Amino acid sequence: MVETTAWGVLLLPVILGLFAVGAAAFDATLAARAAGVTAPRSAALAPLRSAAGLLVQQRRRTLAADTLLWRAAGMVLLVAAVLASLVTPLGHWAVGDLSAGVVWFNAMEIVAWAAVWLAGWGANSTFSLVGGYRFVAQGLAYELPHMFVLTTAALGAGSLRVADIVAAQQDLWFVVWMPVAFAVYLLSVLAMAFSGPFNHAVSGDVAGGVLAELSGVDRLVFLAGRWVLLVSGAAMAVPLFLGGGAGPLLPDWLWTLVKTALVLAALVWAGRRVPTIRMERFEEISWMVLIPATLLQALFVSLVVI
Amino acid sequence: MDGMQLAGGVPMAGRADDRDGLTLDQLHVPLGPLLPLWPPGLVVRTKLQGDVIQQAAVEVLGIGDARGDAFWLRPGRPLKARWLDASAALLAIAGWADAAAVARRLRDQVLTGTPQAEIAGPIRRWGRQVRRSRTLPWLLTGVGQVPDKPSTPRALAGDALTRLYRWVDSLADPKTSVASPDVADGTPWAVDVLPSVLEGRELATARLIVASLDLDTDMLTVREAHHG
Repeated sequence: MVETTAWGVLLLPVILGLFAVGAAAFDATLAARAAGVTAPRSAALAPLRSAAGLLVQQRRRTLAADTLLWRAAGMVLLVAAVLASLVTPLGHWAVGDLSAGVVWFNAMEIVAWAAVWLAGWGANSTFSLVGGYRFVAQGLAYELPHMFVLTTAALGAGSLRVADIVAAQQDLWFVVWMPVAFAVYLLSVLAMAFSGPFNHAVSGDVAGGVLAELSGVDRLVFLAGRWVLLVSGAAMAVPLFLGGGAGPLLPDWLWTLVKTALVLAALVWAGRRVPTIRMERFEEISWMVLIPATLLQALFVSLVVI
Repeated sequence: MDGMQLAGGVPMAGRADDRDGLTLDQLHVPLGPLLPLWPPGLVVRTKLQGDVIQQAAVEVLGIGDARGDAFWLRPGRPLKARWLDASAALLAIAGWADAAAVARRLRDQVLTGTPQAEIAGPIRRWGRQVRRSRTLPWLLTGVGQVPDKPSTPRALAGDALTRLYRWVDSLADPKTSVASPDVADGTPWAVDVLPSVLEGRELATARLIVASLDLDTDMLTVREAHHG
């Protein structure tokens, strides 16, 4: 059973923030190891150092920028990324136990779509705009398979409430009999947080795309939002497919944290091992492979449930 | 122009027919002369419609002022290092930061004179990792395909993937060790064909195409110094 807690509202951003910093540090460590840097501990602190630098950096301006929308983009991304985790249970506690929790999660993560586009649009710069429309195209590729796998998990439990989905996995975790849905879910989490290999919206070939003109606090907030979105996506994999807080010996909240950390680390690690997947190629594989595969998975689950 | 709406004092984009005969906004976007992982001095002036490069004009700045001193022709600059450098640039633009970082590290080790016996193993391991990637062929096949003519330098034939694999394979070849001037012969040819290779392609592949042609603008200044 999941109980809702009021103090969770205060705790949730802290936990997400710690995970986000941890993920960024892990990412920086992997990058340093590839580059042959001999001091990995210092590399792990690189994200914090650059965050401090961004805090004091003066904002760059661009000509005729849509300042309101541009500045709002980072805040919207960060807030949506935090709100997406509102329905994710930590052990048997959750901030919100909505009857349509899965839909809430999906809705918040689509708000992030708008945020990234606004960041690309607002700067009034060619490369930012290119990054923005790359992300919209990316959305066309990952969103449908993503929604189908969310539906598949909900089908398996016969409910859109996240607590019911966890309860339905008491005997068998969904990852065991919905492996395709789980794999596609992880892919789509990487894509929605536009991290590697789905980082075409912010890739170096267009000077950082959406990030090209973002500077100072705006850039910090936007990047933080991106990491928190990745954390929120990784955390939701636990109640959807990995049995929530279920596990031997340890308390359920600790199991949730451990599983989240493992999923997050796997995502960051895997994302660095593959070159950036360009939109036209992602579109192709999404519509030709991922959508049919997720539909077949949903069909299989429906038949089992009946 | 007077009655036209100006965004921050800059005129709005003009329009022209696109490849399907539709009238679309046309944006003039220069690439270069200074970009990370970009041949210094190279300028590609593109006319973009949407994501498609309708027209590309190529120019190399500063040839006349150069001293005719090419980095890769100086003594002690093994060909291996140059191929690692070219591979690192292409891999980085393809978004594979870690494989690119390893290539850069190996390049620096070759340039600082790390003994062959010590570095051959790591280079082989890196090469195997690059050749094993299944995503790379999927992303690079057909990108930057150059016309197959007798004048095409052998080192540049094929597409971005064949060129990358050629560098990787040459690195594994123990006979490759010293710079030979003829390696650079590709650059003037590549600068000539670049507009035709870029036109009609998407902006997303433009940087990949340029990186895969391994342009060394220094070599143009050397030629200039020799010829006139």
